[in-house]
Amino acid sequence: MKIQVLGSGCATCKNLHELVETVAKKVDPMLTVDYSTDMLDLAKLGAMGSPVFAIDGKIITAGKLPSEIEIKEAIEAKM
Amino acid sequence: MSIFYPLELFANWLAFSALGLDPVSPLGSAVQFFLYDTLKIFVLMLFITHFMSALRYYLPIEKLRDFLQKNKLYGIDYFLATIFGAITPFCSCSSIPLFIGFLEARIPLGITFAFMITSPLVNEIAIALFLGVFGWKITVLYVITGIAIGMIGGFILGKMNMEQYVADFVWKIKAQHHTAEKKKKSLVEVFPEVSKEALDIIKKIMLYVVLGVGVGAVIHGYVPENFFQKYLEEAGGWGVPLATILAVPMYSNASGVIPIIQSLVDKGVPLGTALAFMMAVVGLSLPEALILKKVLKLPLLLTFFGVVTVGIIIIGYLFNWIF
Repeated sequence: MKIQVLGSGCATCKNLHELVETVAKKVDPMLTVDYSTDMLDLAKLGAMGSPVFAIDGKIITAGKLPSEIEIKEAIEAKM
Repeated sequence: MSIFYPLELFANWLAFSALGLDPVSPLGSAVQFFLYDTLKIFVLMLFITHFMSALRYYLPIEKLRDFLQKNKLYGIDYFLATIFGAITPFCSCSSIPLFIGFLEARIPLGITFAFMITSPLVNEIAIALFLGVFGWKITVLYVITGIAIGMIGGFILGKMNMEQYVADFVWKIKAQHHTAEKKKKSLVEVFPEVSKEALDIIKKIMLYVVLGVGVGAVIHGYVPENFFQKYLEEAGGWGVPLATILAVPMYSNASGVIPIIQSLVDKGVPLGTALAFMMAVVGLSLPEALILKKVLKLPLLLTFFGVVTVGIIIIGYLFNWIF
């Protein structure tokens, strides 16, 4: 499973990255989170907002900071 | 009687009875103003952010993109783009993905700009603040104005054929496509999600609002009536462009500026001049320009800012002429 956080490098993006990392580690310590601030990666996913939380190239949330539960459920659904 | 009368009573009680301040002293007047305005603005924000957040849940921006991509609407598309600009909360971190997302869907440049001009100018927080400090008439006028600037500005930019000045990589992006999924859940079911988003937005700007109202309250209590009139009269007809230019280096969101603006208007700054200043602070910011520099080549970036500047100045004069 490929978990990604993509953003423009703004404060919300960094918060999202930390949050997703924490939640992922809780679900399974082996999980890793890719963090990219490259706008091209973000655009290729077809996102209309930033930051983006994506799993296996599919956008889960864009342009907002999701809750811990939302992140946990999204990761567990792909396990 | 205003619907905010209970809040006013409460603010009066807190300032004059509980704190024992003198209603006619500058301090008493500033504190009462601060309490009343903060309360009023927060109540309005609570309602409006919830409403807008629910609206966005059912009408996400992807829907607009898909709709504009499929339909040719002969002008109404500009209107739709600005409406969505107004209901989308503006965050500079989203401006590039939005810009690329629109162009990648082959939505014309002018329509994309219409969205991008209106988005920072009209949003739920600005609407809540305007209602709180200026009342509904000026709020409606302001929203119409923000939409008009976006439509006209976007239209002009679209007619200038400046596609070659968009960074080349933007045209080469082939994005994955996923149409917006149908939202079937009822309002009651989605309320927790909607409410969380609304409260997050309020949390983010709360400090600016309180600071803005604070500065406004100090001006309200301590600056003499018609203080600014004297200086602005010296500036004569140049007041509006001067206010617009002065605002560019300032970076703030509308939430901090609007309460200050109201106090300035109270003390003799013409409404149009004050609005031009506010719109320029929000709509023409240097950090925003630096972000957009990644996707726009210089001639287009300058034209974009030029068109918005002229639009704001015209609006400033218009408001001064009406009021």
